[in-house]
Amino acid sequence: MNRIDAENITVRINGKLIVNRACLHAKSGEIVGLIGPNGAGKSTLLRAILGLVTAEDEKVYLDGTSIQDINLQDRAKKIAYAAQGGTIHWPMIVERLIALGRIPHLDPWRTPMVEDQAALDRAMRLTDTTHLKDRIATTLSGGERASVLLARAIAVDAPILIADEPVASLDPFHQLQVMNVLKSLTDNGTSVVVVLHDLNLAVRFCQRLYLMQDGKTVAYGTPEEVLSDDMLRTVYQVEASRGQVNGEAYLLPWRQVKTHGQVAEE
Amino acid sequence: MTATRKIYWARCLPLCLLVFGAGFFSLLFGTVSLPPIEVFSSLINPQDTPTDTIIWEIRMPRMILGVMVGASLGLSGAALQGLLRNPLADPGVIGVSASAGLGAVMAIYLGFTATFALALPLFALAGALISTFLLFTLANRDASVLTLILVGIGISSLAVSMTSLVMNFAPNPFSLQDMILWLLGSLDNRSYADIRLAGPFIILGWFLLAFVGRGLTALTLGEDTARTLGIDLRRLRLLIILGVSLSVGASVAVCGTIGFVGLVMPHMARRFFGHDPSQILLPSALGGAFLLTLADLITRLPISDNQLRLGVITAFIGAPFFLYIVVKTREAMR
Repeated sequence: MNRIDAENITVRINGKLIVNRACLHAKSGEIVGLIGPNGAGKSTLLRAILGLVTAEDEKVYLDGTSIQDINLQDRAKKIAYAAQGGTIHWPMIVERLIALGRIPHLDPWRTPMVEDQAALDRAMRLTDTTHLKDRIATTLSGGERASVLLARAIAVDAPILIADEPVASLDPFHQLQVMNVLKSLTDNGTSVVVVLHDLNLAVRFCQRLYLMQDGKTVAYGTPEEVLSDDMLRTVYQVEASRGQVNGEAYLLPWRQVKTHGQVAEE
Repeated sequence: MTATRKIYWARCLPLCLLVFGAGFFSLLFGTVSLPPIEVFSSLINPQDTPTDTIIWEIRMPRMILGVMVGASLGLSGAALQGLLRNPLADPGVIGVSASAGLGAVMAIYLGFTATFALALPLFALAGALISTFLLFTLANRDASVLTLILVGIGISSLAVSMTSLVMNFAPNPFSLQDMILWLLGSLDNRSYADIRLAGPFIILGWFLLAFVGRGLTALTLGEDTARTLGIDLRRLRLLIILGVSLSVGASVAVCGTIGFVGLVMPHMARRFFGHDPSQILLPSALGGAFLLTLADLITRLPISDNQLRLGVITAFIGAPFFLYIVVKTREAMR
């Protein structure tokens, strides 16, 4: 079923409320976008779902099973995570780096087998990184590096993929490439959760969006529902220009809006 | 992938041979010169001749201890560099060497070494264990790597300053000289008693470090990603710190503080085995065993009236070699 359901997630860090009763649901075959202004708590919500930060009253379910009842290794097989701006600490060969995605599937001491190689080849093919496989990972350009790290996450072959800002600092070509990779994963039934700042990509590629502000989920639903002119004004404080290309909607943030409420608060 | 493994073992084999070779040479040379043939026959068919006593009772324990200590230092350096993801880490950064040194100096200061031969290594071991306990108490369970390094450096500095204090109050010049010479490291006159004392701790340490390879590899992608790959970081940290403390603490306890082996060996191993932290654990251990056996051989050369100390030699071999490696690999490490 590849479902992930997170409800009522609350995270406090050093006493400060970062995520406040937020929720997120994703099911097989859809790209769910998690959007919101900087500091809204998007990354922290994802980290709570992944168990990287402790949430109060944690309610995260994988296909209906509470995540606390699933051990670390099984969790790792089910949810792959592409971290924001992911780090590469050692100058490893690209193919070996991507192969790290197979770690959850290996018993201790077992060597990677044929099926693993197949998963690697698939991940490299999807992300168009096959030609990089013998390069040294730390010498890649920003775009190549992002693709390789995405390939590493895809190599896990997990039913759920969580990607935190996978298109940040990429050029338009690579942004579209990453989004298309995510889309092709959903065609095979994977559930994808992706944090995006580019509202246009969110409108075009996501089936559903969760909009966060100040740690709360303020809206969710289809992109048309969530990114209404009203929401854009109150949450992002922008007005947008909208249009259509071949029946696909686009949205272009166009001008800042100074709300009276904000002025009064200051 | 299987090909990669074959290459790995094919490259480990020459290292094993180097260790064996150095070990054999180590049996060959000493204050009494013995012809190689005699050494051979004594090894294969020991009787109770004076030669056999020299080989089996004097040189053999010294050689075994050298191999064990060198391997511990190399392995610990590789494991710590992987955990801290810092190529400058060595067993010193968690404070265990300095604390073991403090324990040893205390034993000399209090005069226990005169009455009970094993007092010194026992005090040193106690120092190592206390510092490990301190490290775990001060850096809490979820401590970041940075906290671990900082607490380790703090403990290390504290132990070094207390060592200086003890040396400052040394009752007489002889005891001060004992302290300094001991801190410079040596394998002179080590016996099976030393092996029996340190051996179990060292081997337990190795055993713990045998389980950390995969976790270290996963850490290449950072702590968050490693955890989402199913790695229990708390367990990994515990295994590494305990493993290093046990093996290095026991090593320092029987042969003094020996620098540079733990720092240099992982770099050397990376030159031939790549940067995957799990792939350089064993090569670093073998390289450390080789380097220390070699250094111990050099201490036996009749160069001057003052016998050369082990720690001095390893630093002299290690430091230039380290610079060479750093200069050679600076492009890749950028």
